[in-house]
Amino acid sequence: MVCPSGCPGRYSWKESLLKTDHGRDKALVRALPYFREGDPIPPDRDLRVSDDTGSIRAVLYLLLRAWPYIRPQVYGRWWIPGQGTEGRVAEAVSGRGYGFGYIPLLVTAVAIGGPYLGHVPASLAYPFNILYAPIVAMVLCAWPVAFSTGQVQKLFAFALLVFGVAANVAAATYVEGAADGWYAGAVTGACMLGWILQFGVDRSAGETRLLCRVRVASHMVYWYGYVALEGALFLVMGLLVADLLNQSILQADALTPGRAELFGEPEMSSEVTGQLTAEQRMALIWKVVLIEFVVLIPLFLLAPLIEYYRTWFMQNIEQDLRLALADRWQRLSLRYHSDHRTGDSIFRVQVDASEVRGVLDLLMGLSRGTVQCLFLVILVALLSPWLGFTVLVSFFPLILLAYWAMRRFRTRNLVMRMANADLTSRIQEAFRAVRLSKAYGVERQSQHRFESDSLIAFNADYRQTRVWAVVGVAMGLIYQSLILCGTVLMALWANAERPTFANELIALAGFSFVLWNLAAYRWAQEKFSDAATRIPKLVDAWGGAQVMAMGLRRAFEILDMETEVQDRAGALPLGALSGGALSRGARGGTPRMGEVRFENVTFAYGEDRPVLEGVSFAAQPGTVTAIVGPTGAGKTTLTNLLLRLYDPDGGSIRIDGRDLRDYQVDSLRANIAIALQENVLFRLSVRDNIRYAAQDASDEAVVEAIRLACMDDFLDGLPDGLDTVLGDRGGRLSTGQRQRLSIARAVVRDTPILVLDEPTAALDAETENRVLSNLAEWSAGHVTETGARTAARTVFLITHRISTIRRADNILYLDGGRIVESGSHETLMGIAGGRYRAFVQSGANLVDRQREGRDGG
Amino acid sequence: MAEQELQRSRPWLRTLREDEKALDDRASLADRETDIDYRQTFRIIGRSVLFLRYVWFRYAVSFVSHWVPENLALLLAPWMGKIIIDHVVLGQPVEEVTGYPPFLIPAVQMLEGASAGLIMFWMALLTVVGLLARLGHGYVMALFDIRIEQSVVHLVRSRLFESVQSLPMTKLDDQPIGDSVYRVMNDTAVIPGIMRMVVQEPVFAVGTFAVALFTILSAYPDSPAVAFFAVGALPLYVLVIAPFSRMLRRRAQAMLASQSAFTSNIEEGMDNMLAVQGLGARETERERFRLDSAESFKRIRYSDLAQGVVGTILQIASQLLEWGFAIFVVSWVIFGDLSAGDYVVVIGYFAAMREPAQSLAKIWIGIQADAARARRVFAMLDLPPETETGSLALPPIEQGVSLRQAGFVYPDGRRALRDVTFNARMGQIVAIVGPTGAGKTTLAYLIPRYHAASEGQVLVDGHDVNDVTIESLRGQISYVFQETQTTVDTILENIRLGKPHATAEEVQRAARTAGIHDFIVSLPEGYDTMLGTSSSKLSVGQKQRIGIARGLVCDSRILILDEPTSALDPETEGHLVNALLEAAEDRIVIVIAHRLSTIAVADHVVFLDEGRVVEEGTHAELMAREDGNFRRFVDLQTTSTG
Repeated sequence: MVCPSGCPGRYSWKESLLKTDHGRDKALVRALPYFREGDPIPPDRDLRVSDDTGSIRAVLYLLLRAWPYIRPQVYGRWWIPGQGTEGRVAEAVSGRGYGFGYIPLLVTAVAIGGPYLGHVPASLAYPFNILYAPIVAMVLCAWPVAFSTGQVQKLFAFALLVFGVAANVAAATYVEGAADGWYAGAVTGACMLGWILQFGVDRSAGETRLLCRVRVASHMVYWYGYVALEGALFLVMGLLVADLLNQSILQADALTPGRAELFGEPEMSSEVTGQLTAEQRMALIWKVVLIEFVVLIPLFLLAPLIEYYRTWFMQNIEQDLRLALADRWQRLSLRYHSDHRTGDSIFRVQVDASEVRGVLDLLMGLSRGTVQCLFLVILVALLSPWLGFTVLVSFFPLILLAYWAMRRFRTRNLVMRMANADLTSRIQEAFRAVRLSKAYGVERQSQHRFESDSLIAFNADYRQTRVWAVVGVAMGLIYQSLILCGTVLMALWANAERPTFANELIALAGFSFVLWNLAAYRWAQEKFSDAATRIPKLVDAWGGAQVMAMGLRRAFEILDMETEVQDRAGALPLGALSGGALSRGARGGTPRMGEVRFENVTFAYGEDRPVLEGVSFAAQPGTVTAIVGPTGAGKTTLTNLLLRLYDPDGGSIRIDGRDLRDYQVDSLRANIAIALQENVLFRLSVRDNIRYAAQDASDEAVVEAIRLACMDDFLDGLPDGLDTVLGDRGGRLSTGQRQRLSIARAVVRDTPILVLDEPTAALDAETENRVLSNLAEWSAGHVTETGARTAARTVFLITHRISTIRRADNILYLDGGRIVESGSHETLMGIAGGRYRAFVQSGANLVDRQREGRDGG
Repeated sequence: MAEQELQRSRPWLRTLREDEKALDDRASLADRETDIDYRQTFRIIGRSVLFLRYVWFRYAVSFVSHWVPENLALLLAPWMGKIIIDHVVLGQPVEEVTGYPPFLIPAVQMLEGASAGLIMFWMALLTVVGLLARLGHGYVMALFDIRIEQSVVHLVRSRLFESVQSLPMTKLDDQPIGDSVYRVMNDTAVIPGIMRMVVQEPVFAVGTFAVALFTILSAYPDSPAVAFFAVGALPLYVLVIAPFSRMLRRRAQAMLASQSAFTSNIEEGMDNMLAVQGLGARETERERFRLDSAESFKRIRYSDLAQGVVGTILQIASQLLEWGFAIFVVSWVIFGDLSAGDYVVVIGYFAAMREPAQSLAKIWIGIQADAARARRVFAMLDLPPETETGSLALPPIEQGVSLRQAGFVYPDGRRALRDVTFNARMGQIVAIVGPTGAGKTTLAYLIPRYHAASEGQVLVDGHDVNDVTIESLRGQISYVFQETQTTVDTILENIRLGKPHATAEEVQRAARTAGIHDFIVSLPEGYDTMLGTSSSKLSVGQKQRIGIARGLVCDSRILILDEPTSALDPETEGHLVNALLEAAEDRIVIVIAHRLSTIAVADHVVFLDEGRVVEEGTHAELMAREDGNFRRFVDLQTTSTG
């Protein structure tokens, strides 16, 4: 039940209403002007129209770049009997040894069969010439499609598609009756069959085997096929029902003999009777309802499922783009990420990338709309070229308007996207630092910043809306004046009963508009208005294309970013080099490799911020290397370079004698485990957090990692133990607990190289001691239960704690980006006036001095 | 009730509900009561509409100005067509044609005697004037309307932002950032839609319905059955779709939860890119991203499917009605007085009346999803902020802080502190010491009332912290967190966050004390360097020092440092400890520390274990206890330091 007496810890709605500060609410509402533009957008977040780099070509290019994500839903995948469905996207037409040589024969046979068997009249008179021309073209195209490859094949396949559409349109519109529709459909179906079912011959195994494959999952094709079928079904039903209702039911006309037979009512045929009786008419209305029931109810029931299907494959397109974005972000170096705002990424993934879905529909709608509009204009121009001329004249203001508007659509939309992305970032950053805001009482400041960003986003949106409104007004003026012009001309011509232009041609097309009269006026006025009304729709669609392109542009911007850290051509997996000994899980007597060597490494974050200069050292497997030095000396940078989060500007880093850049980045990182200085935890269960970077770690490995990191004691206190889901950013755990989890996460990966960056800073001395002893034992290699000795590991420790440093085999003292001293604790302590010695003594002295000072006082 | 029975009989429904519940929890633990009944749905709709009280005048203006011209155009346009056809195309004299409605006759009479060209001219002129008026009106209204919607959304989202920001600390762990972002950015936008659906559309629908009803009743006064059919449609629709309301809301809620979980996923992954790449967890993260994205898509489909199914049911009901009506009218044509032509007219009017009834039903379907969205807004607005329990402005602190038998229990029942008592006087350094997880941070949180003590008292200068205003209390306390966060701003602004008007000298002095000044000036842009989002520009030690400088610059009466030196090198630590000694002269410094070097300077040491004060006293006193916990704690460190 939903909390019956008001939820605990929550205001009742009345309380909420009462606590509202109306004065402030009013101020918030009035922060935006009622009508005007509002405060200007700050120049650094604004774009001027002159900043626009788009053009028709650029926009089309952006839209077409969406093709790789749409393609899988069009081409589908191959299903091979006995092998299942392939993972890869199927070829556009044919390839890889498969073909469809049987198709031209089949298509030819069907094309000839129709008229030969008398299914369609074997006549070339109008309108059958319009039907047969594309059919013949299809037959002629089918041959080269089947027996060519590459671009030529694609070209002919495209031609085939165009002729197929033409033939079906001709059959549906120009030729009466259903037979020709079936005929055109059959020829088209025969062509489609080659695209769907292909055969190949396998001669590899000594014997010749016939292979076949079937194209499945061409969702886009299925979808458009369904739409066409549904349309045809409605058309047929509409014709049938309208005739029945108007003529027979409402006016008692007898049925045609064919219809009477179809409905199983021979006594209602016009051969039998002239007029229907009232009872017969009542019987017929039930027939009508029955027909509609049989057609409509299944369609209605199917509609949500079809819509679900369409949403599903559209989402597949978007998902592919989202994954591409995420993948690229994860490959981009931290140099990029340190300046990139998180909210911007959220906005790009959720809003900008979603534009990819509409691209195909938009392009098809645009081309269909253009063709239809031109067709209507031509029809009307046949009655009078002057009408065509007025349309032509209207193109001039249209082009001017488009030139003015499209650039503004692009820039305004981009500014709006940027403003909303900024707002998202602002919210994310504010909530991330909300504890800080509380502690320093700066909530008001943060609120103010949010509100000002919110206003900027709304103003940007307003400016975009205004451009659209201006275009709406201009478009309205243009197309309404066009209609008005046409209407005035046609009305006056009809008044004067002028002869029409090309009346021969019109008669040929089945109309009898020889003179301008009422019928001609009505017909032409309707067609002309229809054509004119399509123009603003096309402009709107093209405007929408600009908006879509800007979204895609922001998504592709990320994909265009070159990853700084890249796999070289021929990069090796790290494990392969040492004969698999490095790969995870390889246990045995042989010691694992993992020698790390820095040679004269130089690195700078920016041009003027050098961090490392000429760093050289080597670390052997089975040893612990401590990296010591004042804060900001470059210790963490050193490990970041080892992980190839950045590439060094000079010098080289080698593992087992090979430069890091010779290894595949993924395999490199898979062989290095790191416990980060910042204990980043995710909103997952404790177990999943431990296994975050080692998904396949066994439960035993997790338990072992927990033991090594001394996590047992606090795990018991968690409500669900290992399965406790942590709060946001691992909230609910103390820093010390998080630090140990972070160590467990590194240890569980069982890698040859382990880096611990200030691993124990927040631990108390006792826990620290236990953890470090465990780790020392673990890294030196230990005897497993099976008796095998695990391999030794190369361990790096970054720390300030002298107790920790002393355990290291080798100490590197880093200062100002250089290794100032290196050696064991004893060696370094032996250097009189040495930096390390001073470092250790300052720590010890601090304790002594202060203890004395205080104890004495 | 019906739903529960369904769940018993259909296991898949139960699985679905369990999955959705899990999604709710993943989206946000702070808002788990996501299921709402009819009453609450209406209340949410009502509260959304109540925002009208700030924009009602503009709303009314917009409403009227949409309503009037559109209907005027509808009224006049057909008659203009008639004039053109009758008098221009067919060239009939104006005097001979009848059939104009009375209100048009004077206008038509003015055309008497005009030539076809002249009539056409007047018609064209009228069209142009009407066109200009309509376009101008459309332009103005488009901008006017968008500003109304924006004003409302700005109000709602500012309020929501404020309310998330003022959540108590204990709630913040339960409220993922991504979820809050999604609520503020996306969920708030639904309010104007609800207003429109509730206020405007029904009026339009009822208006259209009434006009059609009136027309048909005046044309066929002896056939009220036509009207009955149309009027009967509405209750039928309501009956048919009402049982699905809750189902629609639940699917919509699950959809929103999955979207917000996905937002959190991106937010978390992007904000922690260092960890993702450093740990070599690209595959994990990719998979997590893929799954969450796919889940959000799936829930969108489910929600759409639910709406589609209910829409289909509505459509079928409406179609059945139409068939029934058609049969009725046909029988009337066959056996009664209606002509074949009447059939088309009657069916047309019937469709005109059915449309608004259907659109009202569609509003009801659509508003369920919107109510689920608006619920997420109001749920967050209704979470109580950190409550101001006191009204007393705390005067400048003179004496000190004391805790009396203070205890703290987390909202989920975990006990963190029990029976803690200690005093800190002005001028003292108090160290809170203890093993990890002992409750040190929780204890420190009680003083600025980030956590309100569940039992006992926390007194500042003898005032219970519950009795003073939060602002006056926290204004006198600087808290340096264990893990330093930086804001996306310059270093200068980061340091003077708590004291925006601090001078450059003050900031530099604090930075010097914290040992970060030299580093900052070595940066090309010095104090004006922008700190990036993931702030990987700074090491943890550097951030920690910025945090300390931030605490020092405030110059507050109480300075609380949570493990301030964990990531510092000994030299810097030495500086810092000296600075603390200096600072402690006229304030209270409370330090949580593991490091002996820091503890050693404390006047008073509180040793905490498992939420209790185990030992307390001066460093020397505690060290004097042979088998004391503190002694053991210190010995471990000194022996290993050796």
